[in-house]
Amino acid sequence: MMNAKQMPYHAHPLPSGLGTDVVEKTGFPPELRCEDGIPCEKLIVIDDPFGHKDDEVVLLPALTPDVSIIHAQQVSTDGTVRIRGLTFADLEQCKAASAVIVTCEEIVPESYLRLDPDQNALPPFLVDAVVLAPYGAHPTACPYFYDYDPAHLNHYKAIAKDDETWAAYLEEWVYGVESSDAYLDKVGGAQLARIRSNTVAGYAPGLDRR
Amino acid sequence: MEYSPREMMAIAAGRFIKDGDVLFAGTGVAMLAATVAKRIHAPHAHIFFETGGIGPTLEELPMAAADPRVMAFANLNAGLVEAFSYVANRRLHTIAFLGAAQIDRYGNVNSTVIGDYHAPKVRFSGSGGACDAGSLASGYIVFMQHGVQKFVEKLDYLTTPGWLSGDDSRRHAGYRRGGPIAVVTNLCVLKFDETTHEMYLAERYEGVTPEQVQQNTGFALDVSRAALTEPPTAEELRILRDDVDPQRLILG
Repeated sequence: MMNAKQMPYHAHPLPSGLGTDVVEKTGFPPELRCEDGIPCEKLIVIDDPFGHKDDEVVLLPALTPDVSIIHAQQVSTDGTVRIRGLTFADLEQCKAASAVIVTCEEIVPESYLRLDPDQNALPPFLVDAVVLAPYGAHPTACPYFYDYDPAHLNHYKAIAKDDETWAAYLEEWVYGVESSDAYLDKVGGAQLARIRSNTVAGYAPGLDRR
Repeated sequence: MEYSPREMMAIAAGRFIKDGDVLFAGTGVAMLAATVAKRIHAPHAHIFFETGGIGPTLEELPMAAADPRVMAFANLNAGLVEAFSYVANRRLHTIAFLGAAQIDRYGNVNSTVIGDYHAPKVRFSGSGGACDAGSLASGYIVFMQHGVQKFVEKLDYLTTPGWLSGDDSRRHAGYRRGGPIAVVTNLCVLKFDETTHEMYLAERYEGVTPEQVQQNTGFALDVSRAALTEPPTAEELRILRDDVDPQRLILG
Protein backbone atom coordinates (compact mmCIF):
# COMPACT_ATOMS: atom_id res chain seq x y z
CA MET A 1 0.00 0.00 0.00
CA MET A 2 1.75 3.12 -1.20
CA ASN A 3 -0.26 5.31 1.10
CA ALA A 4 1.75 3.80 3.94
CA LYS A 5 5.20 4.48 2.51
CA GLN A 6 4.50 8.13 1.80
CA MET A 7 4.88 8.42 5.55
CA PRO A 8 7.56 6.52 7.49
CA TYR A 9 5.19 3.68 8.40
CA HIS A 10 5.68 0.00 7.69
CA ALA A 11 2.04 -0.90 7.17
CA HIS A 12 -1.39 0.51 6.46
CA PRO A 13 -4.60 -0.76 8.10
CA LEU A 14 -7.62 -1.52 5.95
CA PRO A 15 -11.09 -2.63 7.04
CA SER A 16 -11.76 -4.58 3.84
CA GLY A 17 -11.21 -8.02 2.32
CA LEU A 18 -11.99 -10.06 5.46
CA GLY A 19 -13.38 -13.47 4.53
CA THR A 20 -12.21 -13.22 0.88
CA ASP A 21 -9.50 -14.99 -1.09
CA VAL A 22 -7.75 -11.64 -1.49
CA VAL A 23 -6.79 -12.13 2.17
CA GLU A 24 -6.65 -15.96 2.20
CA LYS A 25 -4.55 -16.67 -0.88
CA THR A 26 -1.06 -15.49 -1.83
CA GLY A 27 0.15 -15.47 -5.42
CA PHE A 28 3.89 -15.04 -4.91
CA PRO A 29 5.45 -17.60 -2.50
CA PRO A 30 7.69 -16.43 0.42
CA GLU A 31 10.90 -17.53 -1.38
CA LEU A 32 10.17 -14.92 -4.07
CA ARG A 33 9.07 -12.27 -1.61
CA CYS A 34 11.60 -12.26 1.27
CA GLU A 35 14.35 -10.32 -0.48
CA ASP A 36 15.29 -6.82 -1.59
CA GLY A 37 13.17 -5.29 1.14
CA ILE A 38 9.97 -7.05 0.02
CA PRO A 39 8.03 -8.31 3.05
CA CYS A 40 7.53 -12.09 3.30
CA GLU A 41 3.82 -11.68 3.97
CA LYS A 42 1.32 -10.33 1.45
CA LEU A 43 -0.64 -8.99 4.43
CA ILE A 44 -1.40 -9.73 8.09
CA VAL A 45 -4.79 -9.82 9.82
CA ILE A 46 -4.69 -8.48 13.40
CA ASP A 47 -7.22 -7.66 16.12
CA ASP A 48 -8.46 -4.13 15.60
CA PRO A 49 -6.94 -2.21 18.57
CA PHE A 50 -9.71 0.40 18.38
CA GLY A 51 -12.59 -1.89 17.35
CA HIS A 52 -15.25 -3.85 19.16
CA LYS A 53 -14.55 -7.30 20.59
CA ASP A 54 -13.47 -9.78 17.88
CA ASP A 55 -13.09 -7.02 15.26
CA GLU A 56 -10.18 -7.58 12.90
CA VAL A 57 -8.28 -5.37 10.52
CA VAL A 58 -6.06 -6.12 7.53
CA LEU A 59 -2.52 -4.69 7.66
CA LEU A 60 -0.92 -4.13 4.25
CA PRO A 61 2.87 -3.77 4.10
CA ALA A 62 4.22 -0.58 2.56
CA LEU A 63 5.27 -0.75 -1.09
CA THR A 64 8.73 0.60 -1.85
CA PRO A 65 9.22 0.70 -5.63
CA ASP A 66 12.79 1.28 -6.85
CA VAL A 67 11.60 3.56 -9.62
CA SER A 68 8.33 5.29 -10.48
CA ILE A 69 7.72 6.55 -14.01
CA ILE A 70 4.78 8.84 -14.65
CA HIS A 71 3.65 11.03 -17.54
CA ALA A 72 2.53 14.62 -16.90
CA GLN A 73 1.34 17.53 -19.03
CA GLN A 74 3.88 20.07 -17.77
CA VAL A 75 7.16 20.06 -15.86
CA SER A 76 9.03 23.28 -15.14
CA THR A 77 12.72 23.80 -15.72
CA ASP A 78 13.36 23.23 -11.99
CA GLY A 79 11.37 19.94 -11.97
CA THR A 80 8.03 20.99 -10.48
CA VAL A 81 5.25 18.78 -11.91
CA ARG A 82 1.77 19.88 -13.00
CA ILE A 83 -0.85 17.24 -13.80
CA ARG A 84 -4.25 17.96 -15.29
CA GLY A 85 -7.11 15.52 -14.81
CA LEU A 86 -7.28 12.91 -12.09
CA THR A 87 -4.08 11.52 -10.55
CA PHE A 88 -5.13 7.92 -9.68
CA ALA A 89 -2.07 6.57 -7.76
CA ASP A 90 0.61 8.61 -9.55
CA LEU A 91 1.46 10.93 -6.67
CA GLU A 92 1.52 8.19 -4.01
CA GLN A 93 3.77 5.99 -6.16
CA CYS A 94 6.20 8.87 -6.68
CA LYS A 95 6.30 9.62 -2.95
CA ALA A 96 6.94 5.92 -2.16
CA ALA A 97 9.68 5.34 -4.78
CA SER A 98 13.46 5.52 -4.45
CA ALA A 99 13.71 7.32 -7.79
CA VAL A 100 11.20 9.25 -9.92
CA ILE A 101 11.23 9.77 -13.68
CA VAL A 102 8.65 12.14 -15.17
CA THR A 103 7.99 12.17 -18.90
CA CYS A 104 6.03 15.19 -20.11
CA GLU A 105 4.28 16.95 -22.98
CA GLU A 106 5.89 20.32 -22.27
CA ILE A 107 8.76 21.82 -20.31
CA VAL A 108 7.73 25.28 -19.14
CA PRO A 109 9.47 28.11 -17.25
CA GLU A 110 9.70 27.72 -13.48
CA SER A 111 8.20 31.21 -13.09
CA TYR A 112 5.05 30.06 -14.97
CA LEU A 113 4.25 27.15 -12.59
CA ARG A 114 5.01 29.42 -9.61
CA LEU A 115 2.19 31.77 -10.69
CA ASP A 116 -0.43 29.18 -9.65
CA PRO A 117 1.09 26.80 -7.10
CA ASP A 118 -2.36 25.41 -6.16
CA GLN A 119 -2.35 23.53 -9.46
CA ASN A 120 1.01 21.81 -8.96
CA ALA A 121 1.31 18.13 -8.01
CA LEU A 122 4.93 17.34 -7.09
CA PRO A 123 7.87 19.46 -5.88
CA PRO A 124 11.18 19.43 -7.76
CA PHE A 125 13.12 17.72 -4.95
CA LEU A 126 11.22 14.44 -5.52
CA VAL A 127 11.91 14.35 -9.26
CA ASP A 128 15.17 12.72 -10.38
CA ALA A 129 14.80 12.92 -14.15
CA VAL A 130 12.57 14.73 -16.64
CA VAL A 131 12.06 13.52 -20.20
CA LEU A 132 10.40 15.70 -22.83
CA ALA A 133 8.15 13.21 -24.68
CA PRO A 134 5.39 14.82 -26.77
CA TYR A 135 2.54 12.32 -27.32
CA GLY A 136 4.36 10.17 -24.77
CA ALA A 137 1.14 8.62 -23.47
CA HIS A 138 -0.03 7.43 -26.92
CA PRO A 139 -2.05 5.21 -27.53
CA THR A 140 -3.60 6.18 -24.18
CA ALA A 141 -4.84 9.69 -23.40
CA CYS A 142 -3.22 12.78 -21.96
CA PRO A 143 -6.12 15.04 -20.91
CA TYR A 144 -6.23 18.48 -22.58
CA PHE A 145 -3.53 17.39 -25.05
CA TYR A 146 -4.98 14.32 -26.78
CA ASP A 147 -7.59 11.60 -26.38
CA TYR A 148 -6.80 7.89 -26.50
CA ASP A 149 -6.33 6.45 -30.00
CA PRO A 150 -9.35 4.13 -30.42
CA ALA A 151 -8.08 2.58 -33.68
CA HIS A 152 -4.80 1.65 -32.02
CA LEU A 153 -6.41 0.39 -28.80
CA ASN A 154 -8.99 -1.69 -30.70
CA HIS A 155 -6.15 -3.23 -32.70
CA TYR A 156 -4.24 -3.87 -29.46
CA LYS A 157 -7.32 -5.52 -27.91
CA ALA A 158 -7.48 -7.92 -30.86
CA ILE A 159 -3.77 -8.81 -30.99
CA ALA A 160 -3.36 -9.16 -27.20
CA LYS A 161 -5.42 -12.39 -27.24
CA ASP A 162 -2.64 -14.36 -28.89
CA ASP A 163 1.10 -14.64 -28.12
CA GLU A 164 2.11 -14.65 -31.80
CA THR A 165 0.14 -11.57 -32.81
CA TRP A 166 1.36 -9.91 -29.60
CA ALA A 167 4.99 -10.60 -30.56
CA ALA A 168 4.33 -9.24 -34.06
CA TYR A 169 2.80 -6.10 -32.53
CA LEU A 170 5.87 -5.54 -30.33
CA GLU A 171 8.14 -5.95 -33.35
CA GLU A 172 6.07 -3.54 -35.43
CA TRP A 173 5.39 -0.83 -32.82
CA VAL A 174 8.14 -1.10 -30.18
CA TYR A 175 11.37 -2.86 -31.24
CA GLY A 176 11.06 -2.11 -34.94
CA VAL A 177 10.61 1.65 -34.50
CA GLU A 178 13.90 3.48 -34.19
CA SER A 179 12.76 6.70 -32.51
CA SER A 180 9.75 8.43 -31.02
CA ASP A 181 9.60 10.59 -34.18
CA ALA A 182 9.41 7.42 -36.29
CA TYR A 183 6.67 6.11 -33.99
CA LEU A 184 4.60 9.27 -34.42
CA ASP A 185 5.14 9.25 -38.19
CA LYS A 186 3.86 5.68 -38.21
CA VAL A 187 0.73 6.69 -36.25
CA GLY A 188 0.25 9.47 -38.82
CA GLY A 189 -0.40 13.18 -38.66
CA ALA A 190 -4.08 12.88 -39.58
CA GLN A 191 -4.74 10.40 -36.77
CA LEU A 192 -2.91 12.61 -34.25
CA ALA A 193 -5.10 15.52 -35.40
CA ARG A 194 -8.27 13.41 -34.98
CA ILE A 195 -7.44 12.58 -31.36
CA ARG A 196 -6.33 16.12 -30.45
CA SER A 197 -8.22 17.26 -27.35
CA ASN A 198 -10.75 20.01 -27.34
CA THR A 199 -9.10 22.54 -25.05
CA VAL A 200 -12.29 23.03 -22.99
CA ALA A 201 -13.52 19.42 -22.69
CA GLY A 202 -10.04 17.89 -22.38
CA TYR A 203 -10.88 15.05 -24.81
CA ALA A 204 -11.97 14.82 -28.47
CA PRO A 205 -15.78 15.11 -28.51
CA GLY A 206 -17.46 12.99 -31.17
CA LEU A 207 -14.30 10.97 -31.85
CA ASP A 208 -15.17 7.73 -33.65
CA ARG A 209 -14.32 5.17 -31.00
CA ARG A 210 -15.69 2.06 -32.79
CA MET B 1 -41.02 -1.82 -29.61
CA GLU B 2 -37.96 -3.97 -30.28
CA TYR B 3 -34.96 -3.80 -27.94
CA SER B 4 -31.94 -5.96 -27.17
CA PRO B 5 -31.25 -7.80 -23.87
CA ARG B 6 -28.33 -5.47 -23.24
CA GLU B 7 -30.53 -2.41 -23.72
CA MET B 8 -33.04 -3.85 -21.21
CA MET B 9 -30.16 -4.61 -18.82
CA ALA B 10 -28.79 -1.05 -18.98
CA ILE B 11 -32.22 0.45 -18.32
CA ALA B 12 -33.13 -2.04 -15.56
CA ALA B 13 -29.86 -1.13 -13.84
CA GLY B 14 -30.42 2.61 -14.24
CA ARG B 15 -33.82 2.33 -12.56
CA PHE B 16 -32.15 1.30 -9.29
CA ILE B 17 -30.68 4.77 -8.96
CA LYS B 18 -32.50 7.55 -7.19
CA ASP B 19 -31.83 11.23 -7.70
CA GLY B 20 -29.10 12.38 -5.33
CA ASP B 21 -27.57 8.92 -4.88
CA VAL B 22 -23.79 8.64 -4.74
CA LEU B 23 -22.51 6.01 -7.14
CA PHE B 24 -19.15 4.32 -7.48
CA ALA B 25 -18.86 2.92 -11.01
CA GLY B 26 -16.53 0.21 -12.30
CA THR B 27 -15.97 -0.39 -16.04
CA GLY B 28 -17.96 -1.90 -18.92
CA VAL B 29 -21.71 -2.34 -18.45
CA ALA B 30 -21.35 -0.70 -15.01
CA MET B 31 -20.24 2.46 -16.79
CA LEU B 32 -23.15 2.24 -19.22
CA ALA B 33 -25.60 1.78 -16.32
CA ALA B 34 -24.15 4.76 -14.45
CA THR B 35 -24.45 6.95 -17.56
CA VAL B 36 -28.02 5.74 -18.17
CA ALA B 37 -28.92 6.57 -14.57
CA LYS B 38 -27.42 10.03 -14.91
CA ARG B 39 -29.04 10.79 -18.26
CA ILE B 40 -32.48 9.19 -17.73
CA HIS B 41 -33.44 8.25 -14.19
CA ALA B 42 -31.40 10.36 -11.80
CA PRO B 43 -29.88 13.52 -13.34
CA HIS B 44 -28.77 14.68 -9.88
CA ALA B 45 -26.98 11.43 -9.01
CA HIS B 46 -23.29 11.85 -8.20
CA ILE B 47 -21.04 9.40 -10.00
CA PHE B 48 -17.40 8.80 -9.19
CA PHE B 49 -14.63 6.45 -10.24
CA GLU B 50 -11.82 4.70 -8.39
CA THR B 51 -9.19 6.60 -10.36
CA GLY B 52 -10.38 9.85 -8.76
CA GLY B 53 -12.85 11.39 -11.24
CA ILE B 54 -15.51 12.80 -8.90
CA GLY B 55 -18.87 13.91 -10.30
CA PRO B 56 -18.28 14.28 -14.07
CA THR B 57 -21.25 15.26 -16.26
CA LEU B 58 -20.74 12.24 -18.56
CA GLU B 59 -21.58 14.08 -21.78
CA GLU B 60 -20.00 11.09 -23.52
CA LEU B 61 -19.86 7.46 -22.40
CA PRO B 62 -16.47 6.63 -20.82
CA MET B 63 -14.85 3.30 -21.69
CA ALA B 64 -12.46 3.03 -18.76
CA ALA B 65 -11.94 4.51 -15.30
CA ALA B 66 -9.08 6.65 -16.65
CA ASP B 67 -10.95 7.82 -19.77
CA PRO B 68 -10.72 11.65 -19.95
CA ARG B 69 -14.55 11.53 -20.10
CA VAL B 70 -14.61 10.69 -16.36
CA MET B 71 -12.55 13.84 -15.70
CA ALA B 72 -14.31 16.32 -18.00
CA PHE B 73 -16.41 18.98 -16.27
CA ALA B 74 -16.15 17.02 -12.99
CA ASN B 75 -16.77 18.45 -9.52
CA LEU B 76 -13.13 17.70 -8.91
CA ASN B 77 -10.37 15.42 -10.05
CA ALA B 78 -8.65 13.59 -7.24
CA GLY B 79 -6.98 10.18 -6.86
CA LEU B 80 -7.44 6.61 -5.69
CA VAL B 81 -7.15 7.22 -1.94
CA GLU B 82 -9.65 10.08 -2.06
CA ALA B 83 -12.12 8.03 -4.15
CA PHE B 84 -12.15 5.29 -1.50
CA SER B 85 -12.55 7.85 1.25
CA TYR B 86 -15.94 8.56 -0.36
CA VAL B 87 -16.81 4.87 -0.87
CA ALA B 88 -16.26 4.26 2.84
CA ASN B 89 -17.54 7.60 4.14
CA ARG B 90 -19.99 7.01 6.98
CA ARG B 91 -22.08 10.06 6.06
CA LEU B 92 -22.69 8.88 2.53
CA HIS B 93 -25.00 6.22 1.18
CA THR B 94 -22.73 4.93 -1.60
CA ILE B 95 -23.78 2.31 -4.11
CA ALA B 96 -21.09 0.53 -6.12
CA PHE B 97 -21.68 -0.81 -9.65
CA LEU B 98 -19.49 -3.84 -10.36
CA GLY B 99 -18.92 -6.36 -13.15
CA ALA B 100 -18.10 -10.01 -12.44
CA ALA B 101 -16.85 -13.26 -13.96
CA GLN B 102 -18.63 -15.51 -11.43
CA ILE B 103 -21.17 -15.05 -8.66
CA ASP B 104 -22.62 -17.44 -6.05
CA ARG B 105 -26.00 -17.64 -4.30
CA TYR B 106 -24.90 -15.15 -1.61
CA GLY B 107 -23.71 -12.56 -4.09
CA ASN B 108 -20.01 -13.16 -3.45
CA VAL B 109 -18.14 -12.18 -6.59
CA ASN B 110 -15.14 -13.53 -8.49
CA SER B 111 -13.33 -11.16 -10.84
CA THR B 112 -9.87 -12.72 -10.45
CA VAL B 113 -9.49 -16.19 -12.07
CA ILE B 114 -11.30 -19.08 -13.72
CA GLY B 115 -9.77 -22.37 -12.59
CA ASP B 116 -7.10 -22.87 -9.93
CA TYR B 117 -5.64 -19.62 -8.58
CA HIS B 118 -2.06 -20.87 -9.00
CA ALA B 119 -2.66 -22.39 -12.47
CA PRO B 120 -5.65 -20.54 -13.86
CA LYS B 121 -7.48 -21.24 -17.12
CA VAL B 122 -8.24 -17.54 -17.40
CA ARG B 123 -6.66 -14.75 -15.37
CA PHE B 124 -8.57 -11.48 -15.21
CA SER B 125 -7.20 -8.15 -14.08
CA GLY B 126 -8.26 -9.05 -10.53
CA SER B 127 -9.89 -7.11 -7.77
CA GLY B 128 -8.83 -3.62 -8.72
CA GLY B 129 -11.15 -1.71 -6.42
CA ALA B 130 -13.88 -4.39 -6.41
CA CYS B 131 -12.97 -6.03 -3.07
CA ASP B 132 -12.72 -2.68 -1.28
CA ALA B 133 -15.87 -1.27 -2.90
CA GLY B 134 -17.86 -4.37 -1.90
CA SER B 135 -16.37 -4.24 1.60
CA LEU B 136 -16.88 -0.55 2.29
CA ALA B 137 -19.82 0.81 0.24
CA SER B 138 -23.40 0.90 1.57
CA GLY B 139 -24.29 -1.70 -1.04
CA TYR B 140 -23.39 -2.94 -4.50
CA ILE B 141 -25.12 -3.97 -7.71
CA VAL B 142 -23.54 -6.53 -10.04
CA PHE B 143 -23.90 -6.63 -13.84
CA MET B 144 -23.22 -9.83 -15.72
CA GLN B 145 -24.30 -12.15 -18.50
CA HIS B 146 -26.44 -15.03 -17.27
CA GLY B 147 -25.07 -18.59 -17.63
CA VAL B 148 -24.29 -21.74 -15.62
CA GLN B 149 -20.54 -21.06 -15.93
CA LYS B 150 -21.07 -17.70 -14.24
CA PHE B 151 -23.77 -18.40 -11.63
CA VAL B 152 -21.97 -21.15 -9.75
CA GLU B 153 -22.33 -23.24 -6.59
CA LYS B 154 -18.73 -22.47 -5.61
CA LEU B 155 -16.57 -19.60 -6.83
CA ASP B 156 -13.08 -20.36 -8.17
CA TYR B 157 -11.91 -17.32 -6.16
CA LEU B 158 -13.77 -15.00 -3.81
CA THR B 159 -12.75 -11.46 -4.77
CA THR B 160 -15.55 -9.30 -3.36
CA PRO B 161 -17.34 -10.17 -0.10
CA GLY B 162 -21.10 -10.46 -0.54
CA TRP B 163 -23.34 -12.03 2.08
CA LEU B 164 -20.46 -14.60 2.51
CA SER B 165 -22.27 -17.76 3.75
CA GLY B 166 -25.64 -16.09 4.22
CA ASP B 167 -27.66 -15.11 7.31
CA ASP B 168 -25.52 -12.81 9.55
CA SER B 169 -22.14 -14.08 8.34
CA ARG B 170 -21.19 -10.78 6.67
CA ARG B 171 -21.66 -8.87 9.94
CA HIS B 172 -19.81 -11.56 11.91
CA ALA B 173 -16.87 -11.28 9.51
CA GLY B 174 -16.52 -7.66 10.65
CA TYR B 175 -18.35 -5.64 8.00
CA ARG B 176 -20.35 -2.78 9.45
CA ARG B 177 -22.49 -2.17 6.39
CA GLY B 178 -22.96 -3.02 2.74
CA GLY B 179 -23.51 -6.22 0.83
CA PRO B 180 -25.02 -7.02 -2.57
CA ILE B 181 -28.39 -5.43 -3.33
CA ALA B 182 -29.13 -6.87 -6.76
CA VAL B 183 -27.72 -8.65 -9.78
CA VAL B 184 -28.79 -7.34 -13.18
CA THR B 185 -28.31 -9.75 -16.10
CA ASN B 186 -29.33 -10.04 -19.74
CA LEU B 187 -32.34 -12.13 -18.58
CA CYS B 188 -33.52 -10.77 -15.26
CA VAL B 189 -33.00 -8.91 -11.98
CA LEU B 190 -32.10 -10.98 -8.92
CA LYS B 191 -32.25 -9.81 -5.30
CA PHE B 192 -31.37 -11.26 -1.91
CA ASP B 193 -33.71 -12.57 0.81
CA GLU B 194 -33.72 -10.20 3.77
CA THR B 195 -33.12 -12.98 6.33
CA THR B 196 -31.16 -15.78 4.64
CA HIS B 197 -29.52 -13.42 2.12
CA GLU B 198 -29.95 -16.07 -0.57
CA MET B 199 -30.39 -14.89 -4.14
CA TYR B 200 -33.91 -15.04 -5.62
CA LEU B 201 -35.50 -14.09 -8.92
CA ALA B 202 -37.10 -10.68 -8.40
CA GLU B 203 -37.91 -9.66 -11.98
CA ARG B 204 -37.77 -11.37 -15.33
CA TYR B 205 -37.65 -9.48 -18.59
CA GLU B 206 -40.43 -9.67 -21.16
CA GLY B 207 -40.15 -12.98 -23.05
CA VAL B 208 -37.97 -14.68 -20.42
CA THR B 209 -39.45 -17.59 -18.41
CA PRO B 210 -38.50 -18.52 -14.81
CA GLU B 211 -37.40 -21.93 -16.19
CA GLN B 212 -35.01 -20.23 -18.57
CA VAL B 213 -33.45 -18.27 -15.68
CA GLN B 214 -33.11 -21.46 -13.60
CA GLN B 215 -31.55 -23.35 -16.55
CA ASN B 216 -28.90 -20.64 -16.79
CA THR B 217 -28.16 -20.65 -13.05
CA GLY B 218 -25.78 -23.22 -11.53
CA PHE B 219 -27.67 -23.42 -8.20
CA ALA B 220 -31.31 -23.76 -7.15
CA LEU B 221 -33.07 -20.41 -7.31
CA ASP B 222 -36.32 -19.31 -5.66
CA VAL B 223 -38.38 -18.13 -8.66
CA SER B 224 -41.71 -17.88 -6.81
CA ARG B 225 -41.47 -14.13 -6.20
CA ALA B 226 -40.72 -13.06 -9.77
CA ALA B 227 -42.52 -10.08 -11.25
CA LEU B 228 -42.35 -9.04 -14.89
CA THR B 229 -39.95 -6.16 -15.58
CA GLU B 230 -41.54 -3.06 -17.03
CA PRO B 231 -40.23 -2.95 -20.63
CA PRO B 232 -38.18 0.11 -21.64
CA THR B 233 -40.26 3.08 -22.70
CA ALA B 234 -39.76 4.68 -26.12
CA GLU B 235 -38.20 7.69 -24.39
CA GLU B 236 -35.75 5.56 -22.37
CA LEU B 237 -34.67 3.77 -25.54
CA ARG B 238 -34.34 7.02 -27.48
CA ILE B 239 -32.03 8.53 -24.86
CA LEU B 240 -30.05 5.30 -24.52
CA ARG B 241 -29.54 4.98 -28.30
CA ASP B 242 -29.19 8.62 -29.36
CA ASP B 243 -27.49 10.24 -26.37
CA VAL B 244 -25.85 7.64 -24.12
CA ASP B 245 -24.22 5.19 -26.55
CA PRO B 246 -24.79 6.39 -30.14
CA GLN B 247 -21.69 4.50 -31.37
CA ARG B 248 -22.95 1.34 -29.60
CA LEU B 249 -19.59 0.92 -27.88
CA ILE B 250 -21.03 -1.12 -25.01
CA LEU B 251 -24.54 -1.79 -26.34
CA GLY B 252 -22.92 -3.73 -29.21
